[in-house]
Amino acid sequence: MTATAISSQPRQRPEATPQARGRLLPVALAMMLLFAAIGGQMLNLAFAGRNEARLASAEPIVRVHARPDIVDRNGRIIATDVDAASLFADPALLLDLDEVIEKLTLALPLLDEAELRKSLGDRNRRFAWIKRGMAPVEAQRVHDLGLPGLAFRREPKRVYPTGALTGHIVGQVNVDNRGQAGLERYIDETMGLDAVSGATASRLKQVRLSLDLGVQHSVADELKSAMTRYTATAAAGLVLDIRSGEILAAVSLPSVDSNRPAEVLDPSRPERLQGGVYELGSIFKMLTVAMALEEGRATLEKTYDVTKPIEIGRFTIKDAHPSPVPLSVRDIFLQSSNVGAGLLALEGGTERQLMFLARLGLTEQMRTETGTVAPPLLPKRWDRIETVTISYGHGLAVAPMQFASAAAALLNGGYRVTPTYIATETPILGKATREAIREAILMPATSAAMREIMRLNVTSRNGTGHRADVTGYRVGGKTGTAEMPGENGYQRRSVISSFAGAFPMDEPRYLTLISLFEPQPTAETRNQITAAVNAAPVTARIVTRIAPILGILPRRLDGADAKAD
Amino acid sequence: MARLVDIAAAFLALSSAIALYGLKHDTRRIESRVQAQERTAEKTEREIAVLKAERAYLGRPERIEKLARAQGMEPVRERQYVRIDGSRDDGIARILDKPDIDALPSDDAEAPQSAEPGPR
Repeated sequence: MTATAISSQPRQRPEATPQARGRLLPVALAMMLLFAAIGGQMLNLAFAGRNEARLASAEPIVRVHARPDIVDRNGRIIATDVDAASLFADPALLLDLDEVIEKLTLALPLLDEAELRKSLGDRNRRFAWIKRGMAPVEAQRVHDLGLPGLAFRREPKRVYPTGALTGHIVGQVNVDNRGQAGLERYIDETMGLDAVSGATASRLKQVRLSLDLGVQHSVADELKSAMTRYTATAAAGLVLDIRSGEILAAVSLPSVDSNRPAEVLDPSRPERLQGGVYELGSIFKMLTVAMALEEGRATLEKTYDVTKPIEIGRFTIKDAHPSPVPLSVRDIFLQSSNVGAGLLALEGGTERQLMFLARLGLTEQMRTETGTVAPPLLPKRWDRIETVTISYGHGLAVAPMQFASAAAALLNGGYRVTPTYIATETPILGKATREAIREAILMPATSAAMREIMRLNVTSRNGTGHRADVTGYRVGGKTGTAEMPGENGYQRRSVISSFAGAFPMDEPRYLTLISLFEPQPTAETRNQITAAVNAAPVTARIVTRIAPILGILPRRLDGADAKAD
Repeated sequence: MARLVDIAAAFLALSSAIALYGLKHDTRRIESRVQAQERTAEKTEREIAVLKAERAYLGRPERIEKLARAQGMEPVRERQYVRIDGSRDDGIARILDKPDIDALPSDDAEAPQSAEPGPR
């Protein structure tokens, strides 16, 4: 009704009553306030909202990986991520391609101009990397060019403060911060990484290695000076905790620096402790003697006639300085008689020898966290003659790391240890439980006898290892000089001289294995190249330096003092 | 009466809208502050990482060894160890006997000897 009434009449502006005017005013005011608020907010967005707007801009979607830190057993940093600038371009925004390329190649001389032209020339692309992981000074230089279309992105970059000291062990990463070799690869495979889209620090727990940087440096330093002193082509050395299998030091010279990926791939700088297999020579007599003792065939006192050479087919095995009298097992070890070792091995037979070496893990491929150990090179046929040559360390080539693992069992009371680069955390199990579940592979008596003769080899005047002695630290060990195979059989003047040592010998804790490759005769060594004159004294120098770091207390006179440690 | 209720409701609606707007505004301000602080924290973390790497680089053993040797230091030798239960003369034994601050051996030559010297 009302609607009809209104529409039927011509529209008239009603007179505003004072009452209506009073109502309009607050409405108008409210509207004004509302518009003012909207205006204010627009201004606020226009000025204050800039940061958020920029954050949302088109950042390249590239995944990089934040890696956990690697530290030594005392928490000292070996590898860590730092923030680095990476340069990229949006080719569509580049004003003058030639100018950009000219200026960039001037600022960063290592850039490949042709490559750069190819990647930046494509106007359809919106993103192209130019250089990743730049040094701050390089980034500043490019920034100062002020070229539009170029921008930086912060990314984590892996750095290795200890450089060449740990290069062979930690390996390297690629440009996306993914592990390529060594422990870096192990981290990728076992722990995974944080995928991040910027230079975010990794939330992953740091990886604590068994290495002790102090020990590692001492070994590296002594090996370096030994290489110079004896003009050796290479050297390798490791220190192993024979109870836990933790590797305290693993050095292979020439070293590589993980900060320089090209070095890691350089074939002239191989990792020798587990990357190569070698005939290690007379240090294998440790195994031969242990085998005879373990099987109860011999005691340290049993004598063998070593006065005559061993003849098998067309081969004759003889000693360099044949003994005029029969020798006991103890003396065979001390004088390092090849004939004696051969007789001990022949007495047991080929099959027993193979089984014994297999029990010590010397016939199967082994692996550590840095990768697989080069598999042992077994003889094609294993007969009487091979049994004899293997008894003194020829004919079976193994990686030094693998030998160290076997030697540890000879000294630690006879149980298996697996070498590891990762620090053993505080064990959950008690000492008694751990001792009960460990895998015994030798009788404790065999191990005790091995300790005795290895110590005797250093203290005795007849022993080949007497130059390894260090006052107070009770070193024991065995020398080994192995001729290296050449094109025409073994080369007399090219040898690997090694010393497998342990200390303190009354309760051995650490095993050292030192190998010098092709050492040359010097006046100091009286023109000799055997391990007794080079590898043994190097071991003594190393023990002098590392024993205090490892907390081994010296004893003034062997056995004279009561428990000192 | 109904009119009064209407006015009150309108007033309430308006004021709660304003309050809501204010709260939202505050929240955004706080959020941006949180973001800024997170960025600062991340930046600081990155800087700490660089400093740690630098410290590790400066503390690498080959460098420390050179510096230490220049100061006349060298690895500990066997004869530098002193047995605590060895000679009773060596001061260390007295500390062990009497963990009393007054009894500590002093650098001062005039200082009185330990009250209980023990067998010599």
